[in-house]
Amino acid sequence: MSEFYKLAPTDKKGQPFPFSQLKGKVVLIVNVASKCGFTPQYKELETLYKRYNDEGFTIIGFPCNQFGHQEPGSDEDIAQFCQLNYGVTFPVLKKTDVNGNNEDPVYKFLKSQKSGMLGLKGIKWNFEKFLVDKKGKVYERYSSLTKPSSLSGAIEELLKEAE
Amino acid sequence: MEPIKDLLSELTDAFKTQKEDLIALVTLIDIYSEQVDQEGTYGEKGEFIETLRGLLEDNPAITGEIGWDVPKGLLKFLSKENIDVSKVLCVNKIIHGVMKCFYAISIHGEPKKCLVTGLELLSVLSFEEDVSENDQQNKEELVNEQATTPVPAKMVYKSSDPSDSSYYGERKNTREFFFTLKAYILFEFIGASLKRISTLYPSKYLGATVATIEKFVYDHADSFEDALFLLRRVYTFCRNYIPPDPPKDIQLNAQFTQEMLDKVVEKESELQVRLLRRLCTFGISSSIKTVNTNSDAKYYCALNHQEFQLTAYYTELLELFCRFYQLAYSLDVDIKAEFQNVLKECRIIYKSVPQETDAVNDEAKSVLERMVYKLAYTFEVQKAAKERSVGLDLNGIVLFSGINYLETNEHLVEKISITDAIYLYLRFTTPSLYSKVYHSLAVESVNRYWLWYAITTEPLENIKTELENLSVFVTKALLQVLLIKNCVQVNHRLRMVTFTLLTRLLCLVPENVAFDFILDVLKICPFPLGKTSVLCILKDLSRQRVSKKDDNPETSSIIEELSKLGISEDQKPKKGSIKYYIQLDSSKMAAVHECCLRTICDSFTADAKKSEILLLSTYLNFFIVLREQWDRGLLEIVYSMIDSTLEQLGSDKLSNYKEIVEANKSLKYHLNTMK
Repeated sequence: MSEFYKLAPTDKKGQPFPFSQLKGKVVLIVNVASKCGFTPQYKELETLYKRYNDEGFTIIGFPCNQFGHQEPGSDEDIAQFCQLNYGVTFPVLKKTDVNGNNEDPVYKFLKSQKSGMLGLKGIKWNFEKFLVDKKGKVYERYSSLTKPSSLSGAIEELLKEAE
Repeated sequence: MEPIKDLLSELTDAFKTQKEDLIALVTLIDIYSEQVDQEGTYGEKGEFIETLRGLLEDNPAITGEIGWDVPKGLLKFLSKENIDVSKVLCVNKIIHGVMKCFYAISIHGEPKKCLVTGLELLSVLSFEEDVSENDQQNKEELVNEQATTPVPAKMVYKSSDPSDSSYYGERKNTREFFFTLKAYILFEFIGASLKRISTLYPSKYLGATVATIEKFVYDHADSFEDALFLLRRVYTFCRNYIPPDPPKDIQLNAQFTQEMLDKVVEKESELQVRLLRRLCTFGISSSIKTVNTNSDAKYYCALNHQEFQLTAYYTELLELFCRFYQLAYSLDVDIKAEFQNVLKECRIIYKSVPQETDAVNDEAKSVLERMVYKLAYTFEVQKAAKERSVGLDLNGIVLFSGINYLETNEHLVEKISITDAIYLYLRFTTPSLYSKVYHSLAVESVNRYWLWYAITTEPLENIKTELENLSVFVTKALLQVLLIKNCVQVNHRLRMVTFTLLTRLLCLVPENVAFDFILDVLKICPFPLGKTSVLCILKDLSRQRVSKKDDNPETSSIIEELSKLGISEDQKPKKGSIKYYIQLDSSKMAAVHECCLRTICDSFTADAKKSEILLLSTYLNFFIVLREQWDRGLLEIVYSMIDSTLEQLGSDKLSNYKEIVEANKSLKYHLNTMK
């Protein structure tokens, strides 16, 4: 079993969110922030989620305040912001660190599986994305500049794959 | 100058007719630019730049050939003659136009040549150049004023009307404004050109860029009033860097296989990462040399349950510090591991410093004392001479260790021994005594934070044992450097925090070391403030009892004392078995007495400074408070010497010594009432 499914980050209510429930699904993991130039990507993310969710695709947002302090609010504030401004329905978990001494184990795992630009493991900015296949393997890593809508092809390809 | 319409028409024609002779075209652009800049009106200059921008955009093939040659001339338009600095930048046609021209060149110009041009221009950009240009122009203005026909283009803009919607406000530093404007444009130009280069060896271009930026930061960091500019530019460059693409037409064959290509790409990636890490650590450490990080102040506030507040400027600075700190993580810098490596290196430098008992005579002692001061500097110079690869700037790593606390409220390492904290302080502070290159207020503040952390997290008995085992040369160097640096600290609050740190350290070091240090300061410190401060400290340490628990040396009253450099209410020390941090005895009293007599002489010379008189006043107050413990005979000598000197003073000079007169009377009174 992939290490991915052993992970259990904390949700916005402080409860474990076991990744074992994601088995057999294609997952897009995004570190999000409410006050970033890339925040409008929420809209495209939600579109992707609605379009493919029934086919076994999900998105998980990890709010993070490490880049320019652009996610300063509480978990409650973040949830409200996502709902009110972008009608987000995919899970947005508890605010966490994606780099450094207190990095979330989810990110430790994801970064160890796929490097970014120049082979760097560190997350560069908000809205970096990791696409994980149905077997819990990290398929690709995308920079903040990659628009969520451009991931449709890769998502469809992974959805077609057998578990 | 010919009418602008004709000139613009000729410029436009030149782009058509001189296609084959690009040198001629470049020459024409230069001539027209100079003419318009010298003689044109503001509107004409705007029109000229706008036309040039259109031509550069509409003729990408020509821009590709000559683009790199145009920036130098364009920058000349960015002068006080053309720009009303009190207005917001976006309303200025010239700034707007010049930026658009640079953008057109960065899009269509030959990227490698454009990069070289950008780097060259950045490396020669200087405040001095602006000054001399301005001076030259001022001279020309004078000539123009005397001429019968005024030249409108030479008029220097006066501040706009504040009611104007485009009014920005007075800029504090006009000289810095033009310099930063040009630097900003060049940084953007360099970044954009670098992105367009197609090469298999991007590290070559990034290396040249990093070297130029480093030199730029190194040359100008001290001249900037505002550290934010350099921080922002370096940060933006590092964060926005995208490696250039390899050429699409690489021919793979037996001589250059896919495997070889992969290796080149891998090695190049590694090199680029090293260069970016270097720039990230160097960028922050060199840009904020003259600024405090306030990590020690924040820690001090936390210890004392006080609110930690920053001014708007420091809040903005802190935001940028944190961005650099996060950038380092993005670049996979393991800050904790690197900081631990720094501590290891510090140990290597200082661990072999001998004990005082190892010195065979006073001369050897003196040599060893000086050696401790110079160890880190020598190490640094030798390391720099041997350095062959692109490494992290360790000052940057030390800064990140302090910023970690500012950003997360957590400490990068859970434990740091007092020995390590002292070595760290000396390693990064003493080199500045030999070369200003190493001077950094920012790093010093982080080092003080680690000293604070070390003495407040470890059990005091452990700290005392460590300090007993530490070479006295090292301990004394720490105390002396801490004091000397603090004497030139301009921020009153930080000065008080560091005096408190010094006091705490003096409570922890062996008593003889503490007293020797104080006596040395009283004898030879060049700063009267240093002497005054250690007198206050001595007074308190010889009255404060060593607590049995000893978990909190009582220094709060010392903070207050130092803040007003005065004396507290009379407190009679209890005699008997009580142990004070410094036990006064006849030899200690005699030594301090000698220093006081010298101060009396210095205070009554013709050129005596106010600080020297204040020092004498502090001595008198010191004696009054400690009179019960002090030798009465010595006190009477002091009183008599001052009294007779005051009697000899003329009435005109006596007004300078009012405090001394009062304090000496008070001493006399107490002497009379003593049993």
